[in-house]
Amino acid sequence: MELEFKNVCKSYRSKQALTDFSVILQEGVHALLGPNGAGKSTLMNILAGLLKQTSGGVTLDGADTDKMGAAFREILGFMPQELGFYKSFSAVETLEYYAALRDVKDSKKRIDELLTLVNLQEDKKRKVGGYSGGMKRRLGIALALLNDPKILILDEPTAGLDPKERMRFRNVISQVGFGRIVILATHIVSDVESISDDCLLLKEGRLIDKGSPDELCAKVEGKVWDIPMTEQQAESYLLTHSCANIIKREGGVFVHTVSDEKPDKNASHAKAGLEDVYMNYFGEVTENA
Amino acid sequence: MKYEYKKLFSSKLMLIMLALTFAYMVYLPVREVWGGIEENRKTVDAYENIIAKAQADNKTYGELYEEINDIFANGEAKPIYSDNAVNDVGGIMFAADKLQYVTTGFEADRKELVKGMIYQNVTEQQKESPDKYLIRANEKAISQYNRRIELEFENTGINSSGYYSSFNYSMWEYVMIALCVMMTVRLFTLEYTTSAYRLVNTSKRTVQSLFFKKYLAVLSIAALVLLIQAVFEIAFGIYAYGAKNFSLPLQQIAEFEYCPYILSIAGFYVIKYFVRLICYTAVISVTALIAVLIKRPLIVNITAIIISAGGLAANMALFVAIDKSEKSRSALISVYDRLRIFLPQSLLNLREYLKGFDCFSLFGFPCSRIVFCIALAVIISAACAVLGYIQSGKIRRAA
Repeated sequence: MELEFKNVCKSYRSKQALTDFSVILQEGVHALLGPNGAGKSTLMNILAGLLKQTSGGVTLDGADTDKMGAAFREILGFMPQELGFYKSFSAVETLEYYAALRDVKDSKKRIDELLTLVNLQEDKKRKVGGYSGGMKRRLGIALALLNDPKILILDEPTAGLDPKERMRFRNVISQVGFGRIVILATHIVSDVESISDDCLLLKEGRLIDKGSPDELCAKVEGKVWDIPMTEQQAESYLLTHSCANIIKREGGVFVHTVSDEKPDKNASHAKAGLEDVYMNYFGEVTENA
Repeated sequence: MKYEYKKLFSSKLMLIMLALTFAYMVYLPVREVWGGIEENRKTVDAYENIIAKAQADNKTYGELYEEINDIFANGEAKPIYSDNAVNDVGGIMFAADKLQYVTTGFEADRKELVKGMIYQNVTEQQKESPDKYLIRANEKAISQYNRRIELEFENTGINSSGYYSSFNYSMWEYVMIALCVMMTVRLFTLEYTTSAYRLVNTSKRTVQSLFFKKYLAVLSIAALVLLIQAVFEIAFGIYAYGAKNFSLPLQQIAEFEYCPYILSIAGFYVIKYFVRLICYTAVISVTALIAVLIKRPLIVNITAIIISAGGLAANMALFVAIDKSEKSRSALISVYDRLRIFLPQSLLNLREYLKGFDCFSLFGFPCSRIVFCIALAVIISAACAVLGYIQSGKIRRAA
């Protein structure tokens, strides 16, 4: 299975949201990384058929997804950033309703499995209107998986989830990620570092780099520094350098930063991670889980 | 469909609106006889006794009129049928008028009407440039009136003014229009107000494929409300006004003396509620189209209510104005008759279409106003529903 984006462009009046986005995706988990406004949601909405691209196209094994219509939606699972539910429906009713819309076979069994997977069994009969943000996200994940999709699109799936739920989500994606194309948009690097096969870095609507987490980390190897400082010094350093993190460990406080040149005479090389890649490309620190 | 009903009635406003519709439906007729429903029933029973006795004794209407004189003979009122001379006089007058109408009046009046039309055609044909439409219309009317209708000396019950004002063309129609509009807006904008359209439109079946399910859900509720009203109207007619025999010809009711159609009272009710449903279908269709175009509930509600209730208000205002006006009556009637061709809301007042030969000139040929208005309402409904369906597919792409 091969999903190809060919020179996809999207503009809203004067704003260019996506510019010449081209990539070929195969089975696996693909993380779409970028700050807010980078064009991640636009790209996902285009793939989901909710937005029409200004030019270019998307093909699945050579077939235009636009022309595939219902056949494409049949193999698609989508979790939008803004989840809209019918408040008066319970979780079970919501899943039953969408199972009917998606022609899911043996839906009762499937719904039961998914409710267990997302840990909503106990609250399955409660009205969705009374759910917390995290519970709604979990229901959204169950909905995206309902028709056992071949292409799974998750737009900011971990927003609003607590650390335990985040961990559960990572495990779910690891479990379901085989044999399908999973595209996961986020600006929380830690969510995807351990589960993604490759990362697509998107900035101002353009694909600026792509590769596996290891490949991307290798590109910033040698540019990552730890600078020992007092707590006060570290805080004032951060006021002038947005591209840095304070790390407290045994031996004191360190400022963790990415720089082409040695930023301080006391700085020492540190091991590069995906967060450093993010810092390097986007010039800002990612939101921590 | 069950999910569409759930979506519809998960809103408290919808439930309140539905309760209001039923409450108002009951309030109007009950108000007419409020506090006096038992008294009203007694009067109806008394009148029916007089009719039954007159039937048993084979009395003529002349003999019944004479009985009124008997009550007041020798300068003193002595009741015949009850202990109250006033009730007796009222009942005998009611029975005598009815008897006169069904035995001689109805047939004589219609013969006179046909004669007048034949004379008008002969006169018209003698002119240098005769009015062809008038001749055609008269010929059609003559063929319709030249049919024998057997009336019976019975109480139809429904020719009471209180009964008419409660179930015909009343303020309730506005409540019903508001209910139809609000239900339609709720169902057709819910996916957008909740943002659920993203999930629905990425499913195999999209918002577009739900269009007719939503449409049917609203229409079925409207039909159910109308059915309940029909049952209530008939039950109220039987209980409070003594209506019994619904197989009698519609012309049995003096108001429909010149109705050219062969129609029973039951048939009148069937057509009445059928055309009402057509009118509300048009309201639902127009609202659905506006809803898929605009998607914002408040704006759609206001727009659709202005369009739907505005048409009804114009219609009702003219109807009242005709009744009250003396000087410009014919001009107002002419405008009202035109509205009755084009406005689906006119169908809510079926009586006006059935009171006489009701045609207009369509390219010189007589065309029935009610048939044309029904056809137009159906075309409007179908066109709006199809356009709405197509448009709801386009929104999927542009959302």
